[in-house]
Amino acid sequence: MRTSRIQVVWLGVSLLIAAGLAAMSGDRALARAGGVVAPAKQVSSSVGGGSSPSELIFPARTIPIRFDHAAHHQRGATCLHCHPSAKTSDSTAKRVGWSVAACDRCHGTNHRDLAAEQPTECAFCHEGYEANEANRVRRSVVPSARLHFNHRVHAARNIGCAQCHGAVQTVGKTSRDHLPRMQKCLTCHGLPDGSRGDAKAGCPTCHLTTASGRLQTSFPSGKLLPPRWMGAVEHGPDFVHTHAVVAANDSRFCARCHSEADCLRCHDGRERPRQVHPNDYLSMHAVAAKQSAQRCNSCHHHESFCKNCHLRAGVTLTGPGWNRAHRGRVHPPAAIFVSTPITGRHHSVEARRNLPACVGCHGERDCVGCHATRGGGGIGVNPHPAGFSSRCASALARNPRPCFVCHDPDDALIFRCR
Amino acid sequence: MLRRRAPRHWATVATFCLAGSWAAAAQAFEVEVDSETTAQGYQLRNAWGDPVLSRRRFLQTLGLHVVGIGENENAAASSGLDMSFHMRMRLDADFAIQPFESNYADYPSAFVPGLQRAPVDLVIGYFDIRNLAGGWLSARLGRQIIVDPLGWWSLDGALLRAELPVFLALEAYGGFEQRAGLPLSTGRFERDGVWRGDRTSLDANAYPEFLEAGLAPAHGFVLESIDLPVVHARVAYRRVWNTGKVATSPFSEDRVGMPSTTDGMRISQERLGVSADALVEELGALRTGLIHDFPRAQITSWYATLDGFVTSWLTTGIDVDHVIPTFDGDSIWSFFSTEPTTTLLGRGDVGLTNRWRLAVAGGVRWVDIESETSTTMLDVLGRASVRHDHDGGRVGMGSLTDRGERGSRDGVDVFADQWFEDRFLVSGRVSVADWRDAMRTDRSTTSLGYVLGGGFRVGDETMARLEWEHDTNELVGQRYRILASLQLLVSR
Repeated sequence: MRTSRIQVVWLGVSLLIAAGLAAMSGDRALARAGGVVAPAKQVSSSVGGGSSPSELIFPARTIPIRFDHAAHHQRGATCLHCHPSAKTSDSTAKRVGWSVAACDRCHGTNHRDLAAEQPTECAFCHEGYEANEANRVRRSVVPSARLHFNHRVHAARNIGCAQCHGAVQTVGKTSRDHLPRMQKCLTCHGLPDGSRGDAKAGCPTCHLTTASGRLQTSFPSGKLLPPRWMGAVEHGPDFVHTHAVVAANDSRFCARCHSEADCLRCHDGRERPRQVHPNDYLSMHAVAAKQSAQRCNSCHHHESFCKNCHLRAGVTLTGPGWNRAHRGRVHPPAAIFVSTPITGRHHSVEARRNLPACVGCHGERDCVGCHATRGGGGIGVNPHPAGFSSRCASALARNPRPCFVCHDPDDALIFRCR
Repeated sequence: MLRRRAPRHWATVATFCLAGSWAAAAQAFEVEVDSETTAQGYQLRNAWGDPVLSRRRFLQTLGLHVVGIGENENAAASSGLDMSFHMRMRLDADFAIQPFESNYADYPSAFVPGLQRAPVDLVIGYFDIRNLAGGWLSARLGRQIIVDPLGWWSLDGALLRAELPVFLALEAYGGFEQRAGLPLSTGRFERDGVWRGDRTSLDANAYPEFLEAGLAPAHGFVLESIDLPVVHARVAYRRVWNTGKVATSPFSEDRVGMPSTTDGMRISQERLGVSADALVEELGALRTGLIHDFPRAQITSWYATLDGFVTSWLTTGIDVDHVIPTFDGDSIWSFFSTEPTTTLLGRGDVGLTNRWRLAVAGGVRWVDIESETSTTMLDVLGRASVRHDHDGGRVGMGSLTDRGERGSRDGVDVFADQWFEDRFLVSGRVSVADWRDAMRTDRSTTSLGYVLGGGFRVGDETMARLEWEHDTNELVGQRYRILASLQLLVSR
């Protein structure tokens, strides 16, 4: 009764909180569009929102050039004056970087004939240039972004540079902060079907995928992890303990990056994840199981995983006879664990609260010897909770097998439940 | 996201499935083959020091993914269907298992039911077909894993998913549950409480609680909201039957001295799961769910987690988990398991810098025992972990404490991985753990262990590793484990 009240209260509180969150969200809605997470709020200045763009998507770049975007803008230069390919590039492999021809047009330099240049002029733009190094300058290294992106298509849609790169015209040299954020992309690409126009939905629209069709998350320099705002699934150090609810509630979200193999690696109980079970867990697992074994079955099926090993090691009441001589007592003395009076350390308390721990070693036979009725081979110690007789008919109708384990089919108690 | 296409390729799908063959040479499918091989050797001993079991385990998985089946290199001639095939086979051998341990006929006193020396199983093996019927229907055929509020589970059968134009998707599936004792199968996905396998070599009176495996028909459905702002919800229903003749009482016998049996279709599980999420990007998230068990006529599990994005670098949360263990319908255990365990945890996740991350959690777990000695068992839990990611490496620490009526566990685990030249990996781990068994104080001890490892990246997706583990504690003395692994991936 008390449990039912708790459940009702919990449901009510959950619904209230959900309604509150929904009401507060306003137009910052996150729509799920089968593989896509939705519109983010408009971000100001640079590109706004959250931390710097991932170095896995935009690998670290080295640009040893002095450049003041604001100063150039004040003199009337537009983005396209220096970045003409921003309108034509159709992939991240085709650079949208500055054109030295644009520099030459205004600065009177000639990068095509460096021999004609005065070395002293190089230092005007090239950081770290030494006059005694002739025409050698430090190279700019701008690796391609690990994305699919077509500048031409976006430019044709009248999507201005500032919409993705922010107010570049107000700063001197740009930084990583002026690279696009995913939230910004989802302003269009995250809209629901019908209102998205030609903008494609789905992670592979922008992100690289593996041959098996999932997002490529593994790169030599690290793992691509989701940001917090996307599904609240930030993969922090504790995520191994908290991800279960995410997967249960929205496994399709996980499947955008993870295959079944990723889940099975831990949840099949074949390989031990050290972040869950550190070094000597094999020695410690008995205490862990006694404390709480209710969720062990998220990775271990007690009968097929635990019992085989326990039978072989002689940690069971029944099992192969050859190791019987080596068996000892696992539980407290019988006077505490089996006999009356029933204390907090009685086996019935353990069975009622933490039966999965029992199942890893014991078979039905171990219980039936006492709990079966006399006709069923036992001494009739009733394990059923109060009120069971009112629902025993339903249990018998759905599956009579557990009833017949303890009760003879001709047992009067069985007839009462039919 | 399913694309809208004309429903003109049912015939293509049927032909494909029936023939089981690839179409013509003009296809543009991609193939990925991956494999993971792990070999490890170690020993374990029982609580009294003997016997000592040797483990010489060899785990090999082999995956095959074929995507873009039916696609034509000529885009105009492409069918629009998105078909793929995914398969993963596994060999999980322990070559230290002696052949006589699975030979009941000659060595009945050493026989362990269900024990296999080198079982092979099919982890998954299914065709995935999308963009059917104009894009709103998709299907999966074969052995597949289903993850929903009822947990994760393996089905041999067919699953259909329809994404309706009303913010709703409907999934329906039917087939058989994967069960131990059946070909290429394991017992991992069965409900707990029943020990099943192949009894063909056993006497009827031997291990009567080890039940003969039979086909387990199953069906279910999932209703899921899609494209709704802020909220997302799922309702999942599943029903599985047990079939075949199985022993009942281990003591009562029929007229010819055989264990009494029962036969026919019996409910293995019938459950309804409901989950709901609400996520506000700048504020936080709420996730809840519950499971109703029909045979028990009771909500046997519910949970809720609430995350708050306090600042850009701090996330706090509260988790509640309430569970009553439930078991297969053939099992007697459900009659015994009555008291729910509730866990309440508070969490904090702090991005100390771009590279340092700290997570802490703490709370309580309690059980109310309603009996003649009515009592509440209260445990205190805590865990903390910190991680530092740097160029080519990672160091971190994990710790836990779990203290209460049944004893205590406290431990710290420090680890470090470092890559050199993007090719060579050196790793290490040190653990200290102390546990006190309140039920058997003589089973309490402190353990110290370390792991030293190294790896070599042969190619982008090919990696070989070797690890040495050494643990020591007063109960079992010294324990050693050596582990070697090789990961391969080939794409075409």
